[in-house]
Amino acid sequence: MADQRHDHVLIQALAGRDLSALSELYDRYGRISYTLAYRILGEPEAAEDVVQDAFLAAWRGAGTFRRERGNARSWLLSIVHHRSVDLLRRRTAFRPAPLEAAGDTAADIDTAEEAARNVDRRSVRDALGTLPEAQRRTIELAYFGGYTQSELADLMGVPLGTVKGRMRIGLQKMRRLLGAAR
Amino acid sequence: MTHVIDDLELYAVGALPDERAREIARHLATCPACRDAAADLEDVVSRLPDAIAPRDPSAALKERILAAAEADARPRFGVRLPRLSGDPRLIVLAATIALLLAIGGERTWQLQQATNEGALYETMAYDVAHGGRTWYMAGVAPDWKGMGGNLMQPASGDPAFVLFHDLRTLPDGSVYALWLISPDGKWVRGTSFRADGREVQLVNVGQELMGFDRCAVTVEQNTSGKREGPIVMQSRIAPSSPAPSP
Repeated sequence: MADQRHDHVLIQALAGRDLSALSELYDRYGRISYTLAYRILGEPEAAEDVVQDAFLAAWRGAGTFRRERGNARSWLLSIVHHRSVDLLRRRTAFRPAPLEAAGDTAADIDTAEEAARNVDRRSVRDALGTLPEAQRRTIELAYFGGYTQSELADLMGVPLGTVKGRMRIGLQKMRRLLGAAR
Repeated sequence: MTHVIDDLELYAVGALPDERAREIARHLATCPACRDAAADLEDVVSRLPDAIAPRDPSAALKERILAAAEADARPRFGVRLPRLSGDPRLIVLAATIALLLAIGGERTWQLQQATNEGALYETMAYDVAHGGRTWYMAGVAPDWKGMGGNLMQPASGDPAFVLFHDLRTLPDGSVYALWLISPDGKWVRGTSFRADGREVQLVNVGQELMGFDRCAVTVEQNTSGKREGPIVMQSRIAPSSPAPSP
């Protein structure tokens, strides 16, 4: 762990066309990126294509990354998310079910780093679990299902303002809970 | 200034219509308060993938990515891509591009706003994250070093354009020609233009990028016809596929 480069150092190295930095960044975030893309798209091939595209976008756009305004993980996952949803909306055939509970992955706990990740996962699941069902569904359908606000209103049979309110209250509550868990 | 706080949650999860998302991106480029709020929300949203069971991609994916990146960095015409982070002039250029990408067609206004480097720099990162594509054409050695241009394919679907910097004034009778080159080597002239003397100059490509894998600028004596003059800058490109018809 001690010799690992910080994310922002990796991004700087990426901007300098350092392939080893890209390799390290992939080792760090390739799996979560694929997990997200697969969750949205439901197909391994399409998910891998999106992840490849996202890492290449990061490779090409690393010079634009600004450390003070966000972290590398958030930036990378936003690329993966945007491209996955974009692809999903073009297809429109597959829309994932609202909820899919994440199981614990005890078999994955073979390093301290992985154990820490599992604690993070549990924190997020717990935070989501504290939300009322309507707020949680709204967040998950939007983020993992790629539904727009209008589609959400139709799907859930509520006015747009209700969608907006549920999203706001739910995410603000998660922000407080996850901030407190750190 | 009208803040956009009310829509930031929907913006963070990508649930807004494209037009509204662009309006918010435009606002974030100029409003630190809303930008900070958006960054907080993006941080929360980026943790949502932790709530689902992790899955492993194939072992080959990493190799594919590294191979593609290596090919991407390899000079195709003996030209390397620049580091935007190292040259203040290029950072300003990137910032200008960021705004162009974020807000579409209001280009005069965008160029006027390009002095707010910090905010625009962030907007550039936003647009790369939200689907905008860019390729840098570097001036070729030795006579054209120092000038270059970013070919942009906006996420909005607006027509592609190039933002050139440090274009040299050509002798009377000569023009720059912007070309797109197909994989089978066919050169198609997008447009012809002259340097207008400004440090940064926007030129519309005049062609769809699809079907081409390289771009170049040459110096020509004619505003139409086949390429005859020397190449002064160039790059390979990989435009996004258009959305299929419903």
